[in-house]
Amino acid sequence: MTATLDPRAGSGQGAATHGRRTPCELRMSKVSRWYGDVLALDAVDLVIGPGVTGLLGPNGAGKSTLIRLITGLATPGDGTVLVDGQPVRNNLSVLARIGYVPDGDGLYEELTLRRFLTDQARQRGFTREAAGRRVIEVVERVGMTAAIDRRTGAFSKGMRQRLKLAQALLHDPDVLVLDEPLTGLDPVMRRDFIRVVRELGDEGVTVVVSSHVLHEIEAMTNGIILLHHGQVLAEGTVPDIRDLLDKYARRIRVMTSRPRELAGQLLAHEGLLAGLTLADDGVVLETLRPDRMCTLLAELAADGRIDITAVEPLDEDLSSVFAYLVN
Amino acid sequence: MARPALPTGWSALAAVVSGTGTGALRGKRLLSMSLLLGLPLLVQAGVLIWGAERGSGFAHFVDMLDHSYLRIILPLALILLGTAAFGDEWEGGTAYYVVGLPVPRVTLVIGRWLACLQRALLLAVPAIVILYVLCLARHEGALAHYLPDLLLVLVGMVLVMAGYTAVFIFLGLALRRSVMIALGYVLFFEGFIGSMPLGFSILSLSFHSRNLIWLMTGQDGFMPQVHSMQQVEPTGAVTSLAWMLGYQVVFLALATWVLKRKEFTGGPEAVTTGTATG
Amino acid sequence: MVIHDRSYARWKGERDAPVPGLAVILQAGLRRGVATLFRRKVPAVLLILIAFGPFVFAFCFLLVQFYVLTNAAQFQSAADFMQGSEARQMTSVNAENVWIYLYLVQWPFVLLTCVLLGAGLIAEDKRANALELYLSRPVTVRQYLLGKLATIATFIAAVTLAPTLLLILEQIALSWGDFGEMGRLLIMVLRTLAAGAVWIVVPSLLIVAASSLTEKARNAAILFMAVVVTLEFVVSNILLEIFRDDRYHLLQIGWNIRQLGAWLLGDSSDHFNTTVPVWVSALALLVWSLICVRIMISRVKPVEVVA
Repeated sequence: MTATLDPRAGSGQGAATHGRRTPCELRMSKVSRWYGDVLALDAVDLVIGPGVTGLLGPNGAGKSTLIRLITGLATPGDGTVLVDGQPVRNNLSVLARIGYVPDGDGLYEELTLRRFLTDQARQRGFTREAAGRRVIEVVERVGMTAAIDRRTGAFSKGMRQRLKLAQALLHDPDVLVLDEPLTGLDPVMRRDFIRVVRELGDEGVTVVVSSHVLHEIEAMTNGIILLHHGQVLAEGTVPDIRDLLDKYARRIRVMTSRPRELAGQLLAHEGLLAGLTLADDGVVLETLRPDRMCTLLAELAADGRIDITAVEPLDEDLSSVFAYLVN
Repeated sequence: MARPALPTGWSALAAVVSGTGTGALRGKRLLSMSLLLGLPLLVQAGVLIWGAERGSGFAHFVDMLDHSYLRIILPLALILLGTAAFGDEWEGGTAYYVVGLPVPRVTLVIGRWLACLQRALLLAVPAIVILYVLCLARHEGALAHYLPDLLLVLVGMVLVMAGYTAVFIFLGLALRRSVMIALGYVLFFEGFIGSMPLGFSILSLSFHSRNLIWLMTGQDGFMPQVHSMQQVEPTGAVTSLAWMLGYQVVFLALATWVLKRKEFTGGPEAVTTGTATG
Repeated sequence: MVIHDRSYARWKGERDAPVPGLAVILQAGLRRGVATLFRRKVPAVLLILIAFGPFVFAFCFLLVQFYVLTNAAQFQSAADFMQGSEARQMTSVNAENVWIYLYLVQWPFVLLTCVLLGAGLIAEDKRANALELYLSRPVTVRQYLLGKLATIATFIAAVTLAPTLLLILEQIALSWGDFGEMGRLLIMVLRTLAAGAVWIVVPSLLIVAASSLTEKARNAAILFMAVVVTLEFVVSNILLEIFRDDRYHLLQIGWNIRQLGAWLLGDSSDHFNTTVPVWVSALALLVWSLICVRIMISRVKPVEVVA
C-alpha cells in the first residue's frame, strides 16, 4: 500500500506557502527489518511530505524501528529509506537535514544546556559566534532561556524533552522526527510543546511524531500513519480513514428530552438504523448511512417535532478509528 | 537562518575534539585517572622522605616508569578513557548525539581518539615529569643531564599511549563487555605475550614501546625481557616505530568500520538483564 | 534536617511475615548474574570449561588412581608410577595441594568473577534507579548489602570453595573405612571452609564497595582492578625492590589472603619466606574489610537527606 499524505493534511497547511524552505519528502520502499527472529517492520511503503504526520501504534508496533530507520540510526534489512531521493544511513548531507528528538533520557548530565547545545552546533558546522547566537535562538524558542546555564543533570523530565527539541532544531532541519515527545510532560508544557510542533509543521518542516497515545497525536495533527505488527494499517487523515470503514456502523449520540419519540421516528425509516440505545437524555444510534441519518435528524429538528439539543458523532476520534482497525 | 555548510577537514576534527572533551570524558573519570596516575608519585615522595639509597637516580626512574606507568597504570587509565569514548554513549543512551552528526565517521573516530589522548597526556606527562624530578632531585646536575633522555621517554610514552587508546576505542565500540576484554588484553596479551619469544612479543605494544625507548635512551631498564633473557638480535627502532604507528592506523580504521555499521537501538542499554562491564 | 525518611518501609502491624529481604536480593542477583554470564552462550560455556577444567581433571584423576591402585595386578606399571612418592605428593589431597588449587590455580577466575558478575551489583541498581525501589520496600540497607555480598560470594564460592570441597569429599569417599585418613580429610574440610571464606569474603567486599562508588559497572571494574593490580604488582614491588623489606607485602591484598589461607589450611610448605606474622596479615585484611564496609554503608542510603 503506497500513499502520499497530503502536505496540507493536519497542521501542515503552510507548507506550500513557505518560500524559503525546500519541501522535503521522506520515502520508504518495501522496508523490512528483523531483530533476530522478530519481524519489526514488514515491507513498509510510505511517502511523507511536509507538515506534521503522526505515527501511531501500540507498543511493539514498529514505531521506534521506523524512526531509527528514518534517522539513519539503523539499517533496513530490506528495502530503501530515502530523504529527497538520497539514502539516509551514513549520508552526511541527509543527516545535516534531519533533527531527532529521541525517546530516551540520555544526556551529558555534567554539561550546562548552553555547553551541550554549543558543542552540538559546532559539530554541525556552525562557527563559534554563529553557534552562540543560534543556541540562544533555539533556547528561546523552546522557552528555556532561564535555564541556559544550568546543568542538564538537574533538569526535570519536561525540561529534558524541551532540551532535546532544542538540539533537534539547532541546525534548522527539514525533517524533524520526534519519538514519544510528550511523555512525562505536564499539561502546560504539553500545550507549549504541541504549539511548537504545529508551528514547525506550518513552516513546512516534515515532522514525524510517534506516540501510542491517541489524543496526543490528535492534538498535533490530523494526518496519521497507523502501524500494527510492523505493518502500515492505514494512513491519511482521521476522517478519511474513518470513511474507509464503511462496513462498520457509525455511532451518533442525539440529545433530546423525548428519546422514545425520537426512537420511534427513526425506526420508521427502514434500513437506516443498525442499532439503538435509549437513555434518559437521548439516544445512541448506530447507522451504516451516516449522511442520510444526519439529514433526517436535521429535518426532525427543523420540523420541531422532536426537540433535539445536540448531535454528536462518537466515532470520529482517533481512539475509535484505532480500535476499529486494530480489532 | 541559513543552515551551515557540512563540517569537514580540520574544523570538523577540532569541533569533535572540543565536543568530546566536554562531552564524554568528564568529571569523575578524570579524577579517577588523576588518582591512578598520582599513585607512583606518592610512593616516590615517600621514598624520598624515607631516604632509601636505591630509590633515586635515573635508573630508578626508569624502573618506576616501567613497572608502574608503562605496564599497569597507563593501560588501566587508558582503558578508562578509551573504552568510554564511544562505549559510554551507547551505554548512556547519548549515541544519537554522536552518530547523528553530519561528520565523516573517520573524523568522529580520530577526533575522539585525539580527545582521549589529549586528556591522558594532560595528566600523564606532568605525572612523569614530576616523577623524574622526584627521582633525580637528590642528584646534583642530574635533572639537566638526563633531560634529553626524559624527552625521548616522553616521545615513547606518547606513542604507546596513542596505540593503547586506539585499541581501547575500537574495543569500546565493538564489544559490550569491552572493559573485560581490555583488561584481558592488558594483563594477558601485553603482559604475557609481550614477554614471550620474539615471534609473539613482536605483536605487543608493550614490547615495542620498551624496545623503542631502550634504543633511543640506551637505558637497560627498558630493555624488553625477551632481549635480556634470550640474547636475540634487537628489533630496530624503525621497525618498532612502524609497528606502533601501524597499531594506531589499524585499530582506528577498524573502529571507523565498526562505527559505520553500529546501530543505535534506543535509550540507555538495558540494565535489567545483567551487569555488563562495558 | 531530614525531611523525608523511609521508616514506614519497616512499619509494624498485622500482616504476613516480613519479606526476607536478603533472600530477595540474593535471588535477583543470582538470576541477573547467570543471565549476564549466559548472554553469549559459547563464551560462557568456554569460560566455565576453563574455570572448572583443573577440577574436572583432578576429580577424574583421583578416580582413575583409585581404580588403578585397587587393580594393581592388571595395571602394574601405572600402579607403580602412581605409588611413587612424587606422583603421590602431587595427587594427594593435602594442605599444600589445596592451597595451590584454591589460591594459585583459581585466582584468575576470582578476579574474572568479580569483574564480570560483581562490578554491576550496586552500580547498575543505581543507574537504573533500582536502589530506591529496593530500599522503599521492606528491605533494609543491611539486608540489601548482605544480599549483594551473598550474590558475589556465591559466584566466587562456585569457582573456588565448591570444587575444592568436592575434591576433598571425593577423597573421603575413596578412603571410606580408613578412619585415620577420613579424620584427616574431615579436618581438611573445616580448614578449607575457613580458608575459602577468607578467599570469598575479601574480594566480595572489595568489588561490592567498588560497585557502590559508581553508577557504571565498567568504572567499578576498573577501580577494582586498579586497586588490586597496583597494590599487588606496582606499589609493593617497587617498595620491596627499594627497601628490601618484606613488610611491604602487607600492601598486597592477595598476598595477605594467601598467607592467611596457608595458615588456616595448615600448609607448612615454604610458600612464604617472610618475617610478617600471619596475624598482621589478618589484621591488614580486617582493615581493608572495614574500609569496604564503611564505603558501602556511606554509599547506600535509604533516606534522601535535604539540608
